[in-house]
Amino acid sequence: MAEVKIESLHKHHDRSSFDCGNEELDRYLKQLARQHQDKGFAKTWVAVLEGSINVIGYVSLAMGHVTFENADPEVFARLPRHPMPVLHVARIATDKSYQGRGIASMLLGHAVDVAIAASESMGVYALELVAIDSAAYEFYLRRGFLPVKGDSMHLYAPIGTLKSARAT
Amino acid sequence: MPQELKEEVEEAVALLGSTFTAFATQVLVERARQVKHSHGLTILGDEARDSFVEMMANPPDPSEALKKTLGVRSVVV
Repeated sequence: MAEVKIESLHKHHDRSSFDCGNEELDRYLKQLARQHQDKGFAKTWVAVLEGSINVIGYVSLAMGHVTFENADPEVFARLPRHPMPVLHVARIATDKSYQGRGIASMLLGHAVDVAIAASESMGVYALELVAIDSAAYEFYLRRGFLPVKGDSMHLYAPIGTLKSARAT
Repeated sequence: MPQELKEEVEEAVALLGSTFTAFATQVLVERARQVKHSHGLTILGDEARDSFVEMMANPPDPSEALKKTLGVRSVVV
């Protein structure tokens, strides 16, 4: 038995055998995550077992923006005209051997902590999750993230809601 | 590329007086620019916009599901 730790992705982490069941998510971790991190495109956090360097899960975070196809003065009376900054969960995955144990929830919790901490220093309206398929969408829904009408891809959690959840 | 689609593209190429290669290159570049421009930008339609605006103006109390997710502070496997 070993405790799962979340660490910032570093070159010593072994990602070679990571297999979450989705080739694109595997390839991102193995080939692009460090490059994107070095260039400042996205920051990746990995789950490892205490004392191990093998990656068993990861979440990649980046700043994103939300804007609207159409908006009228009524909308702008409630929100600013410029695109609204959100912390974007770009990718999240758990190795097949460790799925169903709460590692994804732990990684999402870490993303929430990053969003709350960032919101103390800069504008962040919400955490944004983008579902890669209907299974991912249902997964996020079951974990309490909020859908928006007529859109089966994006889910959100306002910073205020996240702060309340963390305070309880 | 299926013949039917190729013919459709060739019709458009003929309308522009261009060539297949020049047209393909132009379309690829335009699409690449779109992807780069919109990367990290989410554009919500009208229904989604209204949900989003309401959610941001009045952040709801966290659901039990969200509290449970955020309650996972440590995992032992």
